[in-house]
Amino acid sequence: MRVLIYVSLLAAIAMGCGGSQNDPAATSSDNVQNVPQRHVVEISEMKFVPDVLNVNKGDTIVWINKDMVDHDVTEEATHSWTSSKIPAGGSWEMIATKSEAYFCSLHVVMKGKIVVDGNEVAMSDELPSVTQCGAP
Amino acid sequence: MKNPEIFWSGIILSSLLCITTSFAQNAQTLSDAEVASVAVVANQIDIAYAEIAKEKSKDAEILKFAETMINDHNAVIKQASDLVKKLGVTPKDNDVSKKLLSDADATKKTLRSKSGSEFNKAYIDNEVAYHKAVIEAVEGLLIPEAENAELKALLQNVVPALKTHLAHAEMVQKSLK
Repeated sequence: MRVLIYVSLLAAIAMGCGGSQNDPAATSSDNVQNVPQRHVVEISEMKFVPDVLNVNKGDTIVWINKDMVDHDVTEEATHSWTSSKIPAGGSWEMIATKSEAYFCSLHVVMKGKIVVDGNEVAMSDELPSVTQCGAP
Repeated sequence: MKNPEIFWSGIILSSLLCITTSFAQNAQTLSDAEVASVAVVANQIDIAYAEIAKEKSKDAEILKFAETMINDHNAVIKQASDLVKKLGVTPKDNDVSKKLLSDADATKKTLRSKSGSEFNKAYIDNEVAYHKAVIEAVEGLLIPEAENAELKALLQNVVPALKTHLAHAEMVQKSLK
């Protein structure tokens, strides 16, 4: 009888511990969803990888230039922001606020897209106009 | 000349194909020092074309493209120079690099004889043809001939940039029509 009580007690403690571990985990998961994330886009072999990046508003995006030539990251529609030149081996980051298409103004065929909170934006197939870019 | 691009492509491609075929027929090989020389010369030639464009053109797209060619090809030359220095190799003149240079002299003379929109068209047509020919030469001659693994890897890494330059040149060419 004593043994039965002892085993029951151990089982109850184990279940209790399990429960107390599960609840904080769920809370932690909720927090992860709300905490801004950091995403990396590699510029490699003259491409943005990945070329389409899904993020949440407020997340940070870091572009890392792994090519041997300079690149930049410039908003495509109105050139409202640009990284300016990112040298080989360099990087640049910004906080995502809305869905936007971007390109490299030095190599205009290189294009990418930021999709914020699932809101799609179109990428152009045209040659982007050559104008002065805005400040980052 | 109804289609200048065909004219430029014909000259450049036949010249490089001639060289490649001649090497194959005569079972000649390029040493790594000669491969390095051809790679550097090919980049220097496109920089020279871009310098002419900067002197002669007022078109924003042409000027922007020319600036990119100068920056990118200088970056490739620096990588190649750093590598041959590390490997203790001195780039060596050879039949391929000499032929590239003599053909480039003729092209530069033709480009300098033109002005305005005629120059813009001739420059970008030549860029399209030149990059097509160089991509073919790098993939079909230089990469197979390179023995050192780092030199081979450098040449392989240059190909995406050359292909991007070609796509960019074709976009500018389309916008001028």
